[in-house]
Amino acid sequence: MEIPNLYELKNYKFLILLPTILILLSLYFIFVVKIPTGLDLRGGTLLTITTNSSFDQNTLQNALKTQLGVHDVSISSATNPTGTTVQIEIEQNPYIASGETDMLNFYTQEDNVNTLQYDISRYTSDLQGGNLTASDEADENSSLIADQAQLPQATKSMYSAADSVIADYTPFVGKIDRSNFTDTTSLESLLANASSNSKEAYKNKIISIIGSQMQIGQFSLEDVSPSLSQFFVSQTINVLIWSFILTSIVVIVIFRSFVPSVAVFLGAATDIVIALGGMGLFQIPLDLPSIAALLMLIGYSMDTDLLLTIRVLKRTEGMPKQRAYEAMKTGLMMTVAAVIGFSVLFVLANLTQISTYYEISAVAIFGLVGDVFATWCTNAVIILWEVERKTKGANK
Amino acid sequence: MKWGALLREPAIILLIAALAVAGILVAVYGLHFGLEFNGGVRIPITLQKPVDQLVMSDIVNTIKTRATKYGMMQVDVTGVGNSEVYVDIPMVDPATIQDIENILQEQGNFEGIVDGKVAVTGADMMPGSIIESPPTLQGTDVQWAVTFAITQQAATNFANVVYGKSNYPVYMFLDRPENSIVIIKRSDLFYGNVTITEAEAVQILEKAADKQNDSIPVFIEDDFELENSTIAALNTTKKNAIISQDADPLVISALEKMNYNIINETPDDMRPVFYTNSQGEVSVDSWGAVNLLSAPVLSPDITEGRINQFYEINGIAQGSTYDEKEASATAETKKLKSILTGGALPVRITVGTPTTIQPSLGAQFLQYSAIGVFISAFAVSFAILLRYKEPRIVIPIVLTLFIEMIITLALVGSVLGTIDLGVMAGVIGAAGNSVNDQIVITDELLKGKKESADETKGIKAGIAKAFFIVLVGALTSTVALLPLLFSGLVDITGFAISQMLDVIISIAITRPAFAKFMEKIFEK
Repeated sequence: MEIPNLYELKNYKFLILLPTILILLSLYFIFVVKIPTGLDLRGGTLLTITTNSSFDQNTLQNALKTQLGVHDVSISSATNPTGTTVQIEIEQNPYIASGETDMLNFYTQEDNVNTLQYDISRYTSDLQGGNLTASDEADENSSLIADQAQLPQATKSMYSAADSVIADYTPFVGKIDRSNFTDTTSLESLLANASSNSKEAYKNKIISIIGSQMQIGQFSLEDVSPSLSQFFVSQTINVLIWSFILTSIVVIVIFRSFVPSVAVFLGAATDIVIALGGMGLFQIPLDLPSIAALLMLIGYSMDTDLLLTIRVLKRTEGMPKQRAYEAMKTGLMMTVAAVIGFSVLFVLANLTQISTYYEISAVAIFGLVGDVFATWCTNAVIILWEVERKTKGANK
Repeated sequence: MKWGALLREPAIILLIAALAVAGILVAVYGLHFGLEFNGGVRIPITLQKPVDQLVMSDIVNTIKTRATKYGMMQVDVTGVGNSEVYVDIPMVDPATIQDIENILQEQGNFEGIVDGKVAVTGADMMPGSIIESPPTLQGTDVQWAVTFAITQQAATNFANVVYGKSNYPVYMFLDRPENSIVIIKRSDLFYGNVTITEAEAVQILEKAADKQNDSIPVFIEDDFELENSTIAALNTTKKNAIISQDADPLVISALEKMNYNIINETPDDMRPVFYTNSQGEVSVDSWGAVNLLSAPVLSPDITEGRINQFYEINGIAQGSTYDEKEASATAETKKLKSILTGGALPVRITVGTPTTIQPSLGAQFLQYSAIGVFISAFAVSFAILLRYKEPRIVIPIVLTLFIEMIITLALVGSVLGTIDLGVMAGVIGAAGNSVNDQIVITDELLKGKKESADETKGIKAGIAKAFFIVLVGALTSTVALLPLLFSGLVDITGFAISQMLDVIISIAITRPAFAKFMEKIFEK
């Protein structure tokens, strides 16, 4: 079946409405429906389990929520020839999360106490040595008094921070008695052990709750702590900004002309917006793999945009609309081939519950579909309009 | 088509050479798979505060060294950004995980021994008091120094132990072995320029290793037959025999029969480092076999009985140029700080919940990934066949696709890192780009052939036009992914590496070969 040459239509410029509608719809899904944040960016625990037994999804979900004290648990499962693969995502446990923050706070308070104790010893030693000048002696004396006055409060704050850590971890490892741990080093060691024991206990609890509902075959457990997810978020923002800047520079340097540069850039941006809209519509999480796929789309978008721009603007054979049409035939073949490749991966990801493949393939498919509209309905119209404008200018 | 002529084309020769190199790399280094495919455990560690690159590499190396010390050679440690570290272990048994967690939390036991008596230990240090001073210039010399403070109670003990011991060495041990004997090869004892007799050397070592109520007798492995009965008699009090990895197996088996627990050390560690002091006496500075790491000398003013909590260990750096001296000074202070802190990490850490992937599930992931790659490639090939309807066009496209994947995976898996889910996804993504490029080349070539009066010229012109699109597309793809490569997001860096590598391989090797192949196909 031959695709008709849409650019020969009288009102071909109205083609631009199609991507515009898609962009508006995408914006609705991005900002109103919203894209869920994935495990990497919001923290939590992800389990992938293979099982041959049946289980009740609602019962398991409720058991996890009530026994772990969390609100958000999502379960998905897929049956494949080797059995059922179940994916369970549990939000970050509030106690474990706050334990991590409180532990870092304890370290800061402990540092304060250590510094004060060190300074007090130093000043005392200097003053006892008797080798100081009168003014140094006066200075050190006043510093000593100030530090001695601060120490009880600093110690109190340190113990209070330690008690917060203990309160966080008590639900997992039972009552922790710190009364015998009077120096900072042993107290630190007690809390560090409580921290790792609690995390181990929490992990075992998760597995035991699931084990009570189904027979666990093989499993993988991935945990992203709040600090790690914060790091992922900040780095992701950096990556996106730098990627945007570098790509813009390349486009401007290559085209050195305003309209084509804008068109190419708009094409890539449209792909990404439509891909994000698809993520919102199908609730595909924004995660490290999906972000990597969004960056990959820039390359895909560039291939078709360049094909169009170079064939229409830099070639002379035939009429511009015919050249755009020929470019579209090649471009559509490119997109179809890539969509087929990613669709296979998408099906496989659904069967196996490998989230990395699922996110990458889904984002790529949405982006590539978006690219068809962005390139052949927006960019082609802009480029043809630019050619017409130049031709008219030349004729005048 | 003339196959002989094709095989003489530089682009084709380069392609074959690249495949051969990939094959050799895989044969020599093997293919390494990441945690997701091999199974194992990833322990995330949060640092108390963000650190710079230098400190981060210090932390990574310290953890690696500790793990290696406990025989866990396969532990992989990676810094993630400036406040996280991943420790990957290719095992999932709870005992190993616990061991690693203990290694991360534990510190070594520091002991400073003067004339056989413990003068100071790691527990005596005031927390946070061990500070490296920057190297200072004194004339043409560079001086290094580490200052530390000990608790008041420890200061009294230190003053008593060092009283009257002016110029005595403080033998600094990190995890000094208890209840042990050392069996040393004569060649190791006299390694380097040693001018003393064997008896003197052994005496110096025994004296240095001596601690009240726990001596470490030293025997010469070469004289094992002669010392046999003495060594056997010692096994009532001594449990461990420290001996070189290269020791005679007969000696090791004899020691095992005597109920000794064998502790193997590298030949380097077995070799003591002797030096001659200002009075012309030979002394030992370090000896890895007993974890004696340094032996600074007590200056007279601190041996007069005065109780002091604050001390400094200093020395003159080795080297001939200022840069060498400065580097040596920095290394020396770092080493001493590490000894005094018991080998502690430079910042405190919080150990997170380990990510666990069972090996059988990892193997399944790998199997599924391989299936995914093949089915994707074949589905794409089928679509291309439908479009061009000519197998002579489809076969080179598909072949190029697979060659690129093979070279990329071989390079990443053998020398550039490990193959993980991100790498596989990147290769699949790049395959899409690859097909795109080849469709552009094929269409331009067919167009050139059709439109030009001279078919050969038309084909060449078409290919040249296509290459501009391909090159710019490749440049943009690489640039877009570049920030991901340097982001420290190690979970997904593999995606960027494989995509970018695939693009580079395609531009430098496979695209020119594909173009040449297509040119030859259509040549009359």
